[in-house]
Amino acid sequence: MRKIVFWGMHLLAGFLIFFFLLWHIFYMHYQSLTKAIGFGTHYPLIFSEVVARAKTAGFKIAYVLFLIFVLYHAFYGLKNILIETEFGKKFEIPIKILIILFATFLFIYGIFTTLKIGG
Amino acid sequence: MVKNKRGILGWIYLKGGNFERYLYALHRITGFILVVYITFHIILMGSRSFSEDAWKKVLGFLGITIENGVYKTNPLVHFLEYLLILAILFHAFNGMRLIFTEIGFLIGKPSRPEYPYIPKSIVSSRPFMIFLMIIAFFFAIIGIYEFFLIH
Repeated sequence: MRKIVFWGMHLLAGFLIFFFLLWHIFYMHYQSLTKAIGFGTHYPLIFSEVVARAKTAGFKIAYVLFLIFVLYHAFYGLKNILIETEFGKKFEIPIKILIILFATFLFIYGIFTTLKIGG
Repeated sequence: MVKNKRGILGWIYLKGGNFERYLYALHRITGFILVVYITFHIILMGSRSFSEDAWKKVLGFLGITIENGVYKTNPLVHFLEYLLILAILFHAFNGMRLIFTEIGFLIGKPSRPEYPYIPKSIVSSRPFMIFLMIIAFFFAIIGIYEFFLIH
C-alpha cells in the first residue's frame, strides 16, 4: 500500500480518537461535569461498576474500536518520529518490525481482556 | 537534501521559530509521552479481567485506594494524572488543527509572498488554532476543579 494511505489512516484514526478520548476522559475524570449532564458516575473505578460497564455490548464495541484507533495512531506516529532520526534511518526495517510486533501484542492483550471480562 | 545537524535536539531548538513551531515541538513531546503512557495503561488496566484482587492491587500500585466508595489518591500520582490530562487535551486539540490544515481547510488561497513573508497558510489557520487552544484551556480549568477542588 502507498504511504499516503497509511498517512490518511493515521489522520482518520486521530480524528476519531478525538471524540472517543474526550468521552473517556470526561467519563473517568470529570465526574461532576458528566453527572450534571446525566451520563456519568461518581465512582468509575469501583470494581463492580468496571465489570458491569465492561459487560455491555456497546462498551465492548467502543473499546475494541478505540483500541484499534489508538494503537494505530500511536505506533504509526512513533514510527514516524523514530525513523526521522539518524539512528532510525539506519535501522528503519527493524524499527518497523518491532513496532508492529509490539502494537500487535497490545492489541491481542486488549482484546483478550475485553472478551474475558464479559464472560 | 537538508542535513539535520542537531539531530533529535532539533525538535526543541525553537530560536527564531513562529508560534506554530512551538506547537509542533509540544505535539511531538506530548505524543511520545502518550505512547509510553498508553502502553502501561492497556497492560495495567487489563488486570480488571482477572480478579477484583488483581484490580485493587494495580490501583494500589498506582496510589489509588477505594474504601466504602471513597477514593484516596496519592497526591503526586493525582498531580501527574492531571498533567497527563493537560498533555491529552493539548495533543487532541492541536491534532485536530493539524488534521484540518493537512487536508487543506483553513489555509487560504495561494498568494504572492509579501513582506514580512509570513506564510499565508499559517496566518489563515491561526484564528482556528487560537479557538481550539481556548477550548483546551477551558477544559484544563474545569480539570483543576475536578482534580483538586472536589477530590
